[in-house]
Amino acid sequence: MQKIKLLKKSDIILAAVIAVACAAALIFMSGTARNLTATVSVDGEVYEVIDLSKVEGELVIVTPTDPETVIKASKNAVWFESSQCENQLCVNSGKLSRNGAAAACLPAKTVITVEGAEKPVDAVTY
Amino acid sequence: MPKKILIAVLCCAVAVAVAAAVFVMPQFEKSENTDFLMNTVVNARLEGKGSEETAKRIINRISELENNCFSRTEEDSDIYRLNKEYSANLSEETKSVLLKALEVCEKSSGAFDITLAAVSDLWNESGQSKALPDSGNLQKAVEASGFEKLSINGDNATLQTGAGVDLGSVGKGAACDYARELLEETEVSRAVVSVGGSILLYGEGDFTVGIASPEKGSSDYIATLTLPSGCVSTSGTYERYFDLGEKRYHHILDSQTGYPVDNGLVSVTVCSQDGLLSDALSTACFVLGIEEGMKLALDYGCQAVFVTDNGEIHTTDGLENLIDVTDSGYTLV
Repeated sequence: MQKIKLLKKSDIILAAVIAVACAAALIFMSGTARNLTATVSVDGEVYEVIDLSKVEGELVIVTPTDPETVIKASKNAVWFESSQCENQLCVNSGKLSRNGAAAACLPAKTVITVEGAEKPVDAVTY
Repeated sequence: MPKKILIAVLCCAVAVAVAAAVFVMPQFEKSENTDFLMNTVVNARLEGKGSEETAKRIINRISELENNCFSRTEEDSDIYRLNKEYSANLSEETKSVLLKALEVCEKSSGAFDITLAAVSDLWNESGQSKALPDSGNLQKAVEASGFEKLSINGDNATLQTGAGVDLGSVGKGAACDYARELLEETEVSRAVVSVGGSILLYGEGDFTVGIASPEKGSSDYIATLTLPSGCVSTSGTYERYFDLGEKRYHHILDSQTGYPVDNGLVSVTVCSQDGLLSDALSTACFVLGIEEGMKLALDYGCQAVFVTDNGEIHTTDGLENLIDVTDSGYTLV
């Protein structure tokens, strides 16, 4: 009796690729990230995204804002190094190294947020 | 025959994918919008059908409230006209906010006061010049202020000459209430809207909210609260301040003296179903101190967290099991 082969090897490979793609999409949609990521936003728009686990040495970002801010990142930390703003509250925010941490320079309309793998807080009240 | 089966299976897969795209994917829709309004960062993070459009509507609504109602500097706003002409017809939104805020002023016996604009102005100038305000000018500003100098009749508000309304201590919380109004008209399933330190938690399930560290040079949080939907606001000495010598001069003012409140507290967080109340009570409870502040919060059916400058955290009974202190420098008392 002749055996009927329902699936070819290529079909199985295709199914596996689709399964992996679906899993990747689900992980992406659930917002799960393995490492700390810093997002620098200027005037509500994303200006720079930094994978903090991959920073070697110090990364320097100068925002095209008035007042200008200088943001620095090192492995697993990011901070406002300096700002030409008057109150310096952004610089006084210190280093951001924890999931859910955020700092803003209001005069420069610049925000840094940090997100990562552990369950972040939904928000911080200050 | 096998080919037909394969085609049938593929057709089913396509049908399932299309159905998922049409019916399921909108539930996964997520959106995050950030803007700078009310002199702070506004962030709207939404999940569910219509998230993107709703987030934009929320940001627009808050901008509208600022420009037309609450702002002291926008010439078209109700509060600008009231402060300038000492009389103004009010929009529904401004009237509602003023009435609710005045009730907190009365219930806190003036510890909370929305008419300290003249006093705040002197401190804002001090922050820029890095010099204390003249004590005589401060005294005059205090005497000209006082919530009893503001009255509302119908849609009209009047203010005694010299007094000025500043909704800085209620506007952000009120914005959270108006954001919730918009969300309730949509199919958005979950949302977190932050207007500065006032936060709206919307949707099923619990939310985790961090309480900011008061330490200079720290952007961390010292404790987390696990809360159902509602609103949370904090008033802290670290939010707006300037240092002069060893002393910090912050923005939470004693309505009797005109000077920053100095009672050993560094922050007060209030949880309420009402955004305006959480915002107003966080300031009122700060000014009143732990004992009187807790009484006022509980009178309103709210819960509160008081953080002192020696690392103590005091909470009302309702939050005892919902708070998790994450910073070893702080102790739950």
